[in-house]
Amino acid sequence: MITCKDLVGFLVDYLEGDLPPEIRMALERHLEGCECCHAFLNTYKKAVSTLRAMKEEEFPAELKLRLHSFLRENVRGAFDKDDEGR
Amino acid sequence: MPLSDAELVERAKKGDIGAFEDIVRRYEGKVFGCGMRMMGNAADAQEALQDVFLSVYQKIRNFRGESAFSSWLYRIAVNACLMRLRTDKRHTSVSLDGLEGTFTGDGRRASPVLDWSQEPEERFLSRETREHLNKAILSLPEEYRSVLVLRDVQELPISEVAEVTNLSIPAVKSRLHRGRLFLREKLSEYFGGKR
Repeated sequence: MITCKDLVGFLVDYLEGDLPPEIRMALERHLEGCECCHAFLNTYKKAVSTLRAMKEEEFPAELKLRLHSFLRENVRGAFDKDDEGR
Repeated sequence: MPLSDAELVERAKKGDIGAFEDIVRRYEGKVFGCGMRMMGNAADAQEALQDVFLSVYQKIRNFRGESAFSSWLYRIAVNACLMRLRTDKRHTSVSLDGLEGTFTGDGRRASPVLDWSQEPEERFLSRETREHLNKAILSLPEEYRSVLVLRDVQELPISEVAEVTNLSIPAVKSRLHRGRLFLREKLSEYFGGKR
């Protein structure tokens, strides 16, 4: 039997699909009957998905040009053509 | 069809500057995103980005292909960020204890858990929430932050995070878990709940 305390320790493996089937089934049985753990899992997953949404960090064109210009100065032959048009 | 990383690397090793430029274009956004989450501002992320691609150019001949090229590059990126962070005196330390909640003697939760995951989606996407989360990420100790950024922001598989950070897979999972618990807690406070 899995307790609420045990469940927290299994969350990474559960979300990675790395739990042995018997533990996964026991965990899911616990979740069905435990509102608190259900809420904890939902919010743990939501924290992860909110983080993933932050991946889409815009790389500003100005900073891109600055990087290419830096490499042009420090790496012979790099980015010596105009950046526009690529 | 675009060339694979391995093909670009082979060409770049032979001095093909166009292949090096293609590597830069392929990874510059990802490395910038990684730097933003690790360091929290565009100026520092930009400095790290320059260090990273200069190192890639200088060291690419030493890349032996024992790991994926992306792992090798992320290792350079994380190290560049850590080097810069270590010279930064603005340091915060947070406690990562007690984030699981409180339990009774027989392992049951001692208090209810608020489920804020059903809040309207726009609240999670708002600038304010992102700023709050960003601040929380930056307050994490570096060894937790790098694992969290690589797995949950950059979405590298755990095995690749282990390669990049030179940690075992259980150690990556453990740091990831503590980092996630901390951010979950910060979001719980933000959305007005108690764990």
